[in-house]
Parts: sequence; C-alpha cells; structure tokens
Amino acid sequence: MNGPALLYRVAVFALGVAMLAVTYWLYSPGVRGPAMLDDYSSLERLEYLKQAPEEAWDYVLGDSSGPLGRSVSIASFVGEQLLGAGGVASAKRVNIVIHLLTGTCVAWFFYLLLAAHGTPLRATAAILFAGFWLLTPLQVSTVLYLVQRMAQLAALFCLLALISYLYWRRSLAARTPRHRYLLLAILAFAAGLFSKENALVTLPLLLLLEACWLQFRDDQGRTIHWLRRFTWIAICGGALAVGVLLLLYWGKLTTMYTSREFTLEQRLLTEPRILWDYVAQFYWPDVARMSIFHDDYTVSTSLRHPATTLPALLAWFALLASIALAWRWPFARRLALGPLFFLAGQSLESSVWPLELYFEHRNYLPGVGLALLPMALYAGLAERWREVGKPLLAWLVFALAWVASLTSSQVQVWSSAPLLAMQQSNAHPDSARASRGMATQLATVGAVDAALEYSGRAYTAALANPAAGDEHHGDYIMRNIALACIAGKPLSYSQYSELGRVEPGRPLGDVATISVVIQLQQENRCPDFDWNGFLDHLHSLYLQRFDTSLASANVFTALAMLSNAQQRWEDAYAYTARSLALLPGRHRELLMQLHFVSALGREDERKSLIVQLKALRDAGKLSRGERDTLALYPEG
Amino acid sequence: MPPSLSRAHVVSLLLLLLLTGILYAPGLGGPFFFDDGPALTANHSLRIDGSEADDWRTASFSSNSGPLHRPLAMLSFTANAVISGSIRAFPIKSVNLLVHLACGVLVFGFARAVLARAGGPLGGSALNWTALLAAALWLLAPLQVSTVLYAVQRMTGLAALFMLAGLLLFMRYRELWARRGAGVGEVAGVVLWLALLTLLATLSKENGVLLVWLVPVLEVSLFRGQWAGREIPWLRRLGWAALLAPLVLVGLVLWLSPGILLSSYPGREFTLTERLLTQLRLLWQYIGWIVYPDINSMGFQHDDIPLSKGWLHPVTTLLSGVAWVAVIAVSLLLRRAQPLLLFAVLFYLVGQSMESSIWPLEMVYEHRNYLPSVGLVILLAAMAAALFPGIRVVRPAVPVFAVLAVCCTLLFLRVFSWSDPFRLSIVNAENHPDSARSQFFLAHEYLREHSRALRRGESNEELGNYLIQARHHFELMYQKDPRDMAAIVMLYYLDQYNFPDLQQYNDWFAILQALAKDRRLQASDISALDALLECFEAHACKASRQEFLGLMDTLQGRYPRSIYLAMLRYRYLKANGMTPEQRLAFLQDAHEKWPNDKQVYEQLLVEYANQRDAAGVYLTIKQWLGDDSSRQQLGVMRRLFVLPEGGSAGAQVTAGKTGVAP
Repeated sequence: MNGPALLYRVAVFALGVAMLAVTYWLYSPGVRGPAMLDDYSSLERLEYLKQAPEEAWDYVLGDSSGPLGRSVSIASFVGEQLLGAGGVASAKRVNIVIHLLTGTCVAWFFYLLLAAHGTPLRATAAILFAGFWLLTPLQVSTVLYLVQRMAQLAALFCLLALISYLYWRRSLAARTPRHRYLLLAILAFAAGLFSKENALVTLPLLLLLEACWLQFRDDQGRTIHWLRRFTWIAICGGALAVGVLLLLYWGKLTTMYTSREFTLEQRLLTEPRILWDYVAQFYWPDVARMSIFHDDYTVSTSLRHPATTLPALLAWFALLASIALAWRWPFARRLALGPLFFLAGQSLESSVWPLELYFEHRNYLPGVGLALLPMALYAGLAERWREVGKPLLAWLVFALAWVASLTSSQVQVWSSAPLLAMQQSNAHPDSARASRGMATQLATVGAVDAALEYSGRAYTAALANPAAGDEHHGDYIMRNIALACIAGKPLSYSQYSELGRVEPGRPLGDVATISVVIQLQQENRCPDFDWNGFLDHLHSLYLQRFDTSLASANVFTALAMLSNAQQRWEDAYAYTARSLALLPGRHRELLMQLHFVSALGREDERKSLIVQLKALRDAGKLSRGERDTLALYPEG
Repeated sequence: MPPSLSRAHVVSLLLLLLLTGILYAPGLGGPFFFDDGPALTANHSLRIDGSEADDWRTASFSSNSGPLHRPLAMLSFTANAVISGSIRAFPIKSVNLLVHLACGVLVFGFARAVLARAGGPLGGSALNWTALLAAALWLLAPLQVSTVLYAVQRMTGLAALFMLAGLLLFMRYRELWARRGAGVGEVAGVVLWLALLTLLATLSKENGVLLVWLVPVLEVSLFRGQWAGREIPWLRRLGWAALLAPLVLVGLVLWLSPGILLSSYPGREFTLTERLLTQLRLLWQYIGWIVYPDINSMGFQHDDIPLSKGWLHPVTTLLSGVAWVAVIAVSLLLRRAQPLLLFAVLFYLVGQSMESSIWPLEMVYEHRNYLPSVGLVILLAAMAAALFPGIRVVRPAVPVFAVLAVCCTLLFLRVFSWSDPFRLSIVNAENHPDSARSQFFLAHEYLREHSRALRRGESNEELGNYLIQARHHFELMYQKDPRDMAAIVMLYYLDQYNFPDLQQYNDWFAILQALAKDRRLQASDISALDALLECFEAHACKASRQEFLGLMDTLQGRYPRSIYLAMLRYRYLKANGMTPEQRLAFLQDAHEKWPNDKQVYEQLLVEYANQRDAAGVYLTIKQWLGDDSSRQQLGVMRRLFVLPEGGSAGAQVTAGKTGVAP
C-alpha cells in the first residue's frame, strides 16, 4: 500500500471512530433519564434477578412479549443485570453501545453497497451517511427507551444478515462462491427473529437488495440468470402468499381489532399519513413534536377525513408507480432501494396488525432505507461527475452537525423525567398518556390539585381519541387514588367512592394502575389513606355475588393482591376464585390461592391445591421461582 | 494563472506573518470592550466545562447579534472558554490574531490570482511581490486593530476568512474555465463549495452572504464572460445580471414592504435619509483610513462624526456623492483598460453594502472595512508596483519598505494603546474630544480606577481625584450629547452619593424626566436606567417613589411593549415593599403580555419557589419549555432537576403505560 492510500485509510478510520465517539458523547446524558411505559411490564422483574440468579433461564425463555419470546433481547437484559451494574442507567448505556454497533453495521453495509459499484470516496461516504442515521433525533426514542433494545437488536442482526449476504454475493460475482457467508446470514436472521419479530423483514430486504442494487450482475457485468429467476420467483411468490393469506385471514384480522378503538380499514388508511410523517421527521426533524406518545394522532376514518388521507395514499402509490416506470434504468433501480427498504422495513408494524398506530422506534431499521436514498443519489452523481463528490460530502458533514445539535437537545429532554413529561405534554396536549405522565410528575412534588387536573385531561383525551383507546372511569379514579397517595394527600371517601359509579357492570378495565396502588400500599407510602374503607367499597362492587363478568381474570388477581396487602384474606380468596374461574389452572393464581387458604386455615382446600400444583411441578410446567414458592408450603 | 512561488516569496510571507504576530502580541492581553459584554463576558451560556454536548449547542446559539445568532463564531468562543476554563482575553485575542494571519495568507493568494487575471505589466516574480505587498498592506493596516483586538469581532474575521477562501476558490477555477472551459461536474462542484463557504461565512456573521454578490464582481470586472479562450456574450451579460440582481431584489422588497426597513428606524436618533447621506461621506472616510492611516483620527467611538442632515449639511455630503458617481463612472469607462479599478471599487462597495447602507445599524465602525479593504490594498499594491519602477532615483524596494515601516510603526502604536483599557480610553478621548461616548468610557475607567484604588487603600485625596475626573468626563459627555441618558444617570448617581454639595446646581433627575418625554431609547439608555435602578435598590438614590414611578410612567407610556421597562418597574417595586402576592400578580400580568420572555419566566419561578408552590414551578417550567422553541434555555431548565443517575427523583415515580408506575 502506498503512502497516500495508507493515509486515506487512517483518516477514514479516524473519521469512523470520531463519529462513534461523538454519538456516544451526545447520547451519554440520556442515561440519567427514566424508565417508562413497557419498560416496567417487560423488565421490572429483572430487578430480583440478582437475588436469584439461578432463575436466569426462566427469564430468558419465559418472555411473552411476542410470539417467539424475544429470548435474545431478554438474554441481553439478564446478562447485563447479572454481570453489570444493573439499573436503568446501566441498561441505557448498553442501548447506546448497541446503537453504536448498529451504526457501525450501517456504515459497513453502505460501504459494501458503494463498493459494488466503485463509487468514489465510498468509505468516507458510507461513514457519513451512516452518521446521519446514527445522529438523527428520531432515534432517541429507540435508544433511550430501554425496552426498545429489542428493536435495536433485531435491526443489528438484520444488518448483519444483509452484510453476510453481500459478502456471499461478492464471492458469487467473482465466480468463487463461499456459502459459509449464507450460513452466517441465516444465523443472524434467526438471532434477529428471537430479538424481535420485526427481523422477519430481513427476507424481503434481501430480495430487494438483490433486485434493486446488485441487479443480479457478476464482476464482469453479466447477469446471473438463476439468481434473477430465484429472486423474482421469491418476490412474486412472497407477494402472492401474503395476498392469499390476507384474503384468507381478513376476517380473523378484523376481529383482532376488537380491543382497539379503530378498525383494520381505518388503520390502513391512517398508516400512509404516518409513514410520510416518519419520512419528514427523519429528514427534517421537528423535535418539538417528537415523543413516545402519539395517541392523539387523528385516525383516518375515510379517504377524506382527514383531508391528508387521500393525498398521502396517492403519494405512496405515485412513488411506487414511478419506481415501476423507471425500473428499466439501473440507476433508478438503485435509487428505488431506499424507499422500498423503508416500506419493507415498516411492513410488519405499520400495516395490518392491530398494533398501536404510531411509534417513532418503528423507524430504527427502516431509517436505514431513508439514509440509503440520499446515498444512492450521491453515488449516482459522484460516479457521473467525480468533482461533486467531495463538496457533497462536505455538505453532508454540515447536515450531520445540524441533526446532531437537534439530537443533543432531545437527549437533554430525555435525561430528565420531569422535562420529558413536560415536553411530551407540550408536544401532544391532547395525548392521554402525556397528560398522565404530567400528572405523575406533579404528584411527585405534592401538587395534588394540578395532578388531578391533568389526570382528568387524560381521561377526557382517552375518550376523545380513538388512537388512545378508551379508559374505564374506574381506572381513572384508581389513578387518582395513586396520584393522591404519591402527592401525600390521599383521596377522601367521597372521591374514591366514585369508582364504580360509571360502568358499574365493569368498574375497572386495566391492572396496571391497580399494580401501582398495590405497590404504594405494600411500601406503606400512603398511610393516611382509608385502605379498609376503599377495600370495603371494592367488596361492595365485586363480591356481592359470584359474577365473573365484572372484571377480567387479571383484574380479579390484582384485586386479590390488593386485599392480600391489607391482610383481608377472605376478600383475596374470593377475588382469586373468580380469576381462576375465568382462567383455570394459572400457576400464579393457584399459588396465591394456596397462600390465602393457608392463612384462612382451610386445610382441605390447601391439600387439594398442593396436590394440583405438585402435579404441575412434576410435569415440568412450573418455573424455578414457582417451584421455590411451592416448596414453602409443606404438605402436612 | 499566477506565476509559481519561489522560496523567497514563501519565506517573505512567513516573515510577514511573524512580523504581524509580533506587532500584535502586546495587545493580546488587552481588555474586553463594549459588545464583548453581552456576547462573551456576561454571557452565562459560555460558562461551561464542555463535558455535555448540549452545552456547546446552547453556547453556540447564545449570541443575540444578528438573526442567525452567529453560531460558528460563538462555537469558536465556546472552545476558547472551555479550553481556558473561563473567558480570558489573551487566548481569545490570540485566536483572533491567528484568524487574521490566515486571512492574510488568503489575501496573498487572492491578490496573486486577481493581479494575474487583471494583466498589465506585472509578470513572474514581480506579480508575486506585488501580491505580497498587498497582503502586507492589509495585514499591517492599523485600521484592522479594531477587528483583531476587539474580541467579539472574531465574527467579522471568521466571516472574512470563509469569504476569502470562497473568492480564492472561484478565482482559481474561473481562471481555468476562462482558458479551457469546464464540464458540468466541475462547475457544479465549485458551486457546491461556494454555497457551503457562503453558509459558513454567514453563520459566522451575516455579512458572509455577500460572498454570493462578490463573485459577480469578479466576473464582471476581471473575466467579462471569458470561457474556453473566447468571450461569450451571454455569460458576460449573466455576470452583470447577477451583479445587479441583488439591488433589484432589495429594491423590490423595500418597495413592496417598506415596513421591513422603516419599522426599525424609530429606535435610532437618525433617519434613513440621514444614514444614507452620512454613509456617502463615511465610505470616503474609511478609504482615507486605509490609504492614509492616521491613527489619531481612528478610534473606538466615532459618534463625533456629524450626521448629514441634507446634501449641503455638511457640504461634503454632496461632494462625496458626486465623487462616488464619478469614480463609478470612470471605473466603468476604464473597465477594459484598468479592470483593477472597477474590481476595487465594486469590491469595496459590495463589501460595505450590508453595514454601510440602508439598515439602521450604528453609523460608524472601523471593522466594517476588514474585507472591503482587500480590493483597495490590491489596487494600491498594483499602483505602487506600477509607480515605483518609474522613479529612477530610488530602488523600488526602498519606498516599499518605507511604507511598510510606517505601517508597522503606526500599527505598533495603535496596538500599544489598545493593550490597556485606561490608556485606550485616554487616547480615544484626546483624539475625539467631541465624542460623548469616548468621554463616557474614560469616565468609567476613572470609576474603575477608583474602585481599584479603594481596594489598594489609597488616600482619600487620591480616591477623590478619581471621582472628580470621572464626574468631569461625565459632565463633558453631557455637554457633547445632552440627550444621552447615560451621562445624566451617572451624574445623578455621583452627585447623590459622592458630591451631595453639587446637587443644588443641577437637578439631574428633573433633566432625566424631561428627556424621558421624547428621547428615542437606545441600548445605552436601557443600561443607564439599569444603573439608576441599582442605585435605588441600594437605597443610595433619594428620589421619591412618586418621582421614580412618574419617570417610569412617562417611559412606559411611550414604550408600552418594552419588557425592559416593565422589569425595571418590577425591580423597583420589589425593592420597595411589594408583597409576594402583588409580585406574583405583576409577573403573571407581564407573562401575559410577554409570553416568551426569559426574565419574566425566571422571576416567576423565583416567586413560585419562594411561595413553595410546586405546581406553579412545574407548570411555569413546562410552559417555558414549550415557548422556548429553539431550546436555548434547556440547560437552565435541566439544571432545575438535578437527578441521580438512573431514574427520577422524589417519589421515584414516572409516567407508566397507565399513567403511574412505580
């Protein structure tokens, strides 16, 4: 290697290191930020792992976040908990490091793409375009939202699969195929699937990569015919299969929407608008509007309501039509990879499934396609006119500085729980969740009146916005109880007895807020609250007769826990009995019931439950923790 | 193409840079001045340790100068502050000097390119020596001291640096294109670079945008549509169109929306017409300072230069106008024979067009010549190169060195006076006895000396002398400009506190009250009123509550939208027995009128915190965060919530999926 070439390599390496260092520096204040939303439900149990490390595998294999269990992601949390410092800050730091690793893979992927066409300054360009992906503020709500490590790892493995494929293709193009790279791609794909199911999009991405960018060519520019046939058969077959499956399961899909306040059709009408919004937020970020809460997003109820629905839809169709029309030109195909990568990346979470409508973290992997689009444009221009290469990259550095400054401010907001709550509430004043967050912040500083006012706004917003999902009036009152306790000014009888006034046939809808109240009670953080009066009130709502239609099994279980915390065993027993009546044989509820009958001295039931649980244990159906709990209850 | 450089040229350039550095060195430890206060020394955003990325962002956008906040220049100041650990003059002015030297190198390169293109008798080594002379005249010009040693004018220096880089780049490529033409890629590449350099220059100081206008200056004066060895008429016409387009554009905008310009003039003590007429004279004055560097007429303040009230008041206004018309006409007529003349005239006028034209900026500043003077020094150097060889009795190098020696001497003297604030104030006041501001700054220096002498424990006689001198110069200032509130306030302050016997001769407060009825408030008046309030807060001034509030009523009646005046009233009332409830009501009312004002937010938070109203504090911060669209105050807000790593404070509760989660 000659002197200038060596110098160039050193400079490129230094640029890459500098990019990663700057990204880490920008994100590092974010470790001070709070845990939020699904972090609790997905990760709170991990706190107890240090006391019982032997239960690690139970955690890894027992996750129920998705159909495949997301074991790889949970393993990362478990490993970090066991080997690292633990805690939110440590976990966020790991997320930042994963972001850097993923950014490195994006740069690597881009470099291989550019190398395939001999683009000038390809290493520098790859690092800088990957830098845009690394530094754009849209990524903040993935990187600093703990549980979204799942999305990060899925993206990381997907990129590794794409990179492996590119190496395999390189060897194939040179007529010396090395199939071990394909094996690596498959392994990465599998790891991605067990991180988060989104990694399934790796398959269409591989096909698009071949069809759009590599264009079935070998090193001499000849077409590899079998590869072309295979790719097109896979693309057409895949599209056909998806179409047939949709036709077959359309009805089932529609029924899955019963838990949502919007229909499948409404979701399909709304998502094109949201996708354009993602695109805008990626290229021209409006950080004041960014948030994890978008439950105030207006649902499209028809092509004309809101008015942007039809234009958004038409714009996507126009884009796809332009791609189809321009397909005959190789450069246009390369340019098409970016938008198609984005759409394919969004195809799982922004299409037919009854998920929430809008989440910024859904752009983590699809954003690679958005960074790829300008890179393809750069490649086309720089290959045609070499003189524009350097100034275009210099402009890109300027753009990087701009997005970095936006990201740094967004990270600052995310580094403080109160600021984050305030920003979310400002950005989305009609968001029920943002108002709840604000209410909580106000409660923590004792501002109970203001907290209850925001809680009321949250309730009203939840009823008004289909994207938010209706809230039970009882859940609202339960939240007020929690807020008032946190603020140190508990609700009076006249306030908490409102629970059940509206919707008496189903007073409570959700367990999450009850869980908070249970924890407040267990930790004795609300000693002045009239717990017994409140439990009497709940008793009057739920236990007058054996009616399992009054709540879900989980709500009954939660009420049992609440009664248990106040040592009201009879009530706890009665709630658990209703829960088991709804969902018989649940291990946790059986163990709870064992505890309650033991406390009540009901020997026959106790023995019967022990027998039942031991049978489950012997069948290997109890987890390590459940087995340990059962062992606390001797048969005699 | 310019001839290649010999070792002698390079060594001479390096020696020139070294000499410039040596001459400026004594001034690097000199004081901060005037606008250095708000931008640097009193700018809290610059007091950071640099460990957090966002602190750099807020510091970079913390200047209130210009609509773009000059982030690139502020970023360089931030780097200075972080590396030094504080805002210190020496490192900041050292970087200014480095920027100046870098500009000097670019001036040399630019001059070579311009002289080569302009043609004429110069060739080979002589052209390089002439370019070096131009760089020397520019680097050593005493006029540049007020850019290099005025810390905040790094903004000007950086903008000039990027503009010179852009001009040099254009000259280099345009010369190639004139001879061999160019492809689309090469032209597009240069356009992209020029656009980027324009942006960088503009983000240093808004003048940077003039790079876009200076390029057509080079095109019409030096290239005249030359492309691939021949003159292309449409390209020549395009050059002229690009040169005239900004004039047409600005004219159209002002014609369609004159309010853009005229709405700012009520804040000045001169009209648009007066400014335009005065600038005709000042543009000649600046040229005088460049060509004949009389350091006695230079200075930090030039408020002693009389305004032009009409074409004949003073008569030099008309003469200046006629002279400009004549010069432009001559340069246009001789554009082919003497392209350097047209280049220098257009370069100078376009370079001055932002700050010396229609905008209601301060009337005179020397640093406005930093870049525009480049064209003139190139012309001067070319003229010298043409002139001296014709004088047979002397060797050409002798007069050149003589001129440079004079420049060096004058530069050294000027730098020396700028190295000490007291010396600079004395020199300014002596050179500009009719300048009210020079008297003001000198009076202030005497007050500072008084404070220092107090700390040193000097005798009462010495202390008294400083106060007498200060009062004397404030009084001189009042005589020169009886409408400047600063002098009246300071005289009122001094007489109340230090010279009670003199109170019987002048009722300064009554004069202030009378002035308040029709004085157009300037930034200096606001500062003066601020000082007046400090006097009242310290209970050192004795005017009655009724008198002070009467003064405020007068001013607020004329300026009902002034938040400064409202907050002055608030401070006065707060210091004079306003109850907490009244304070809160006052601030809430102010908040309604000025919803985005930082001062009001800060005072509101203080009041809520004093009243232990947590909801008030939180909801105020929330609103502030919402109003602060550029997130400039985010650092301040963040520090209000200092949290341990890994989670929320207080009840360890934050927003969960259902609203509350432990």
